[in-house]
Amino acid sequence: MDSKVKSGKEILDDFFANISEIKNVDKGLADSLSNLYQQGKLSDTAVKNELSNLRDKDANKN
Amino acid sequence: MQTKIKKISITGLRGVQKTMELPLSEKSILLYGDNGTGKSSISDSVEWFFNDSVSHLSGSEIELKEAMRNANLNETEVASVEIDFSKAIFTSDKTLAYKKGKLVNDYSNKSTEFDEYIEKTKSENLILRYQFLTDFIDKTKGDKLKSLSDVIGFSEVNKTKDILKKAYNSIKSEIKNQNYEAQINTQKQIQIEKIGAAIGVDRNLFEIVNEIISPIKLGLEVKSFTDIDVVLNLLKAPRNTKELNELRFLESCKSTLTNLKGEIELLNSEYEKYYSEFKIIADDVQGIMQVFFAELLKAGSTVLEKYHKDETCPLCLQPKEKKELLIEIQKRLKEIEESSKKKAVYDLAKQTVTQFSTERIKRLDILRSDVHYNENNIEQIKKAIDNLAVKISLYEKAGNEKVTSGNKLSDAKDLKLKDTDFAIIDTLASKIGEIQTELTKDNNAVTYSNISAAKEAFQRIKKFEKEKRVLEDQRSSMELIYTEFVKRQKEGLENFISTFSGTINEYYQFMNPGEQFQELKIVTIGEEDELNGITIEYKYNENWVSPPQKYFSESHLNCFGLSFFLASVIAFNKENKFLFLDDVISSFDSNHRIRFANLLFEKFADYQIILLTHEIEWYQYVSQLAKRKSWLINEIKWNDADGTHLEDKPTDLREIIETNLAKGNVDILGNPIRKYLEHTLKDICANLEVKVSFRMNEQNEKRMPDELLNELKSKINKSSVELKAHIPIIDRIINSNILGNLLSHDNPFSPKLGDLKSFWTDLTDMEKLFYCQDTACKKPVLVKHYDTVKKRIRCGCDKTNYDWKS
Repeated sequence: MDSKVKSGKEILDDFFANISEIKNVDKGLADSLSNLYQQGKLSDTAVKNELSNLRDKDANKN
Repeated sequence: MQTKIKKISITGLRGVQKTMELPLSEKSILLYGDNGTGKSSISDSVEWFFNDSVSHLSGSEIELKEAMRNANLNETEVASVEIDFSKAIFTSDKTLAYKKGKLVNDYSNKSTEFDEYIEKTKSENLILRYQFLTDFIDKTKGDKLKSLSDVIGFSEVNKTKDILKKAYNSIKSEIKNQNYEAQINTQKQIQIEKIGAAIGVDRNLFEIVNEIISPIKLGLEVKSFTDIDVVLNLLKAPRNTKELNELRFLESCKSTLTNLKGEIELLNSEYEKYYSEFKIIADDVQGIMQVFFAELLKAGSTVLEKYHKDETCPLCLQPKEKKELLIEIQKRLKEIEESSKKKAVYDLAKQTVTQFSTERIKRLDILRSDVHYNENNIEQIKKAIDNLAVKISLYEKAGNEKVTSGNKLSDAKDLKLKDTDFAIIDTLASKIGEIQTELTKDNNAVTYSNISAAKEAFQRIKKFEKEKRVLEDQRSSMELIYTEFVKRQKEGLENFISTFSGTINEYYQFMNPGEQFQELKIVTIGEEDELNGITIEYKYNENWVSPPQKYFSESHLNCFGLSFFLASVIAFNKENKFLFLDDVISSFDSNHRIRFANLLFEKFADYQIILLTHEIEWYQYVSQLAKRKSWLINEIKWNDADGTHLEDKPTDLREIIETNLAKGNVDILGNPIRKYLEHTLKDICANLEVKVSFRMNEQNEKRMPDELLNELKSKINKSSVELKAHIPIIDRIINSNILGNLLSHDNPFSPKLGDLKSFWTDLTDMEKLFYCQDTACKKPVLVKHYDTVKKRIRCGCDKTNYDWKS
């Protein structure tokens, strides 16, 4: 456990800065969530749309 | 060095219609404002200044920028909040104005230092509101976690957790909706029919195709899908193209309908679930009323907290205390919680039925948009598919039915999809058989049809497998992300709790001295990486006790929430040395209120505190302590012209009066002079212990100047010969026609300038009698300073004194 006492914002900043390092997590998805957070656009609808876009991109890949 | 605030100036934001200035000079301030005066305009404006959001105004139904601007501003007016900091480089105003029809906000300070300061401040806890504490007290264990997080500034963490969870659930429900296993099985079935085996690897498909075409001797070896297309082109003779296309279409129909038939049980059972949940809610009228009444109650609560200014019920307009109404609403919402849980189950069942039926209709629509669909020879097939689409659309329609409409859902047994709805599959099979028999006359055509169908089935399987894999990967990633997030949230909370448990306990014990609740601690609930809630444990008579409600009163819980917030101020606030406490003692009993005030004065003496309250008794108590600690004290008022504004202080009033007397602005002088007279008389009477008839509570404050003047005269007559000689000054005020005009509510204020000037001179002359005129003193003459030897009362420096009979 990280022993530093973090504020709510620090918890979120740290989490999204390192989200792509979570073991076995798709990097594209992690980066998308991180971008939404950095832009202050993390919402139910934005995440749902982003997941759908990522699936479409994957489906179009051979 | 942390910064404090020198001045806050708010224009056109929230309740403030004009400009409200709060000159603080880095000092703490106690602000009293009755309910409905718009006290929270101050904390809302400051929160918006730093965060671009206001916690209690967040929600999809509220457009923040619109909500921030005072409703009476016109489009050309600029709303703003300006904060002057002790660190001048951070001073800035933030404006909110219409630009090209859109509300835009902007800081005047464009420096990098300011940007960094704002960014760092977002991690700090500067404002505690009444709602956060009451939420914390009222909630169940799980929700307590959320509201405690709000108290210590973790609310965004909670919101993010909800977003991640919803995203994870939406992927899970999409996987269920698509039912990939069934779709893949149908395609495998087609492969078995056409080429005698279900093929999962393209190499195996190419081998089988090579075996099939070997007798035809095309002189080709298939190694890719392009090779298959070459083979199909070679096999496709012009004379049977029509039959082959028809065969392809009929086989598509058969595979779609076969797949759908395989889902009958799933669709029917999902509808049955929905039907029964719908019935549970629809049959329980009280339940429906409660669930939907909750929305009204929540809206009512918002109206009461933000818009309704009177102490009345906003619906029936009967007199009712706002605080009491809010407590009742919270109580009723809690009772409705169980019904809300039922509704959540119902909502999920409704969503599943709607999604399932919409997706299946979409699959039938693909067939219905095929060029062969409108051909004459398939009327029967067309009719069957249309009927099926109609039947499934009844599920869809039922899924869209509102439980409040009063309509009943069709019985599950009436809507049920049955095997007989798919009888057309037999017709399709025989029609396919007929074409195939016809095609057997042409060996190449049969080969074409088999290879083509097997290839399409193979590609569909690959497509479904890919879609499924992508969704499963997303589900798995989102699950890992969510689990990790909860772990970090739990760590964050536990770190805070373990590091600051001593501080929390210290503040709590300070407010509850000598009580038997010892070693107070908070405990997170949930194994390993789960975080289901929190509960509070403490030692009571040497035994560990949990949950706190067992012995805790509302005041105890309130103390606990406040202790958490204050500990979070110590933990997180590195840039700022000020904090706003907005009506945070409303759930306290009187003992805890006093101890809370003492805690602030003792433990947070080096902080600049902006303390807002609507509790008059507490305000009166705290103002005594605050005066001794050199706090500023003021009152917040509301009127139609200015909206929320500060009560004018006598020094300000004096300046206003003298400036306007000099300018001859008679019309606007009535109110300032009346207020000045009232304030001065109350102060003199309090200092000389003038007694007036008893009145209850705040009515005691409402004394008319003529009553005070007469009682003051009477006291002087009884107590001081020297002062008695000055009574003509007081008499001039009493007998002035200006006084009558000031006190009359029936006549407009229209005195002559000369009369006003004389009245003001009399008033200031009277003032000079009771306040030392030595510039170094300026203190009032007080009975408290009675010299028992000389039998005289005096001011602070003793230069002004009078004989006095005690």
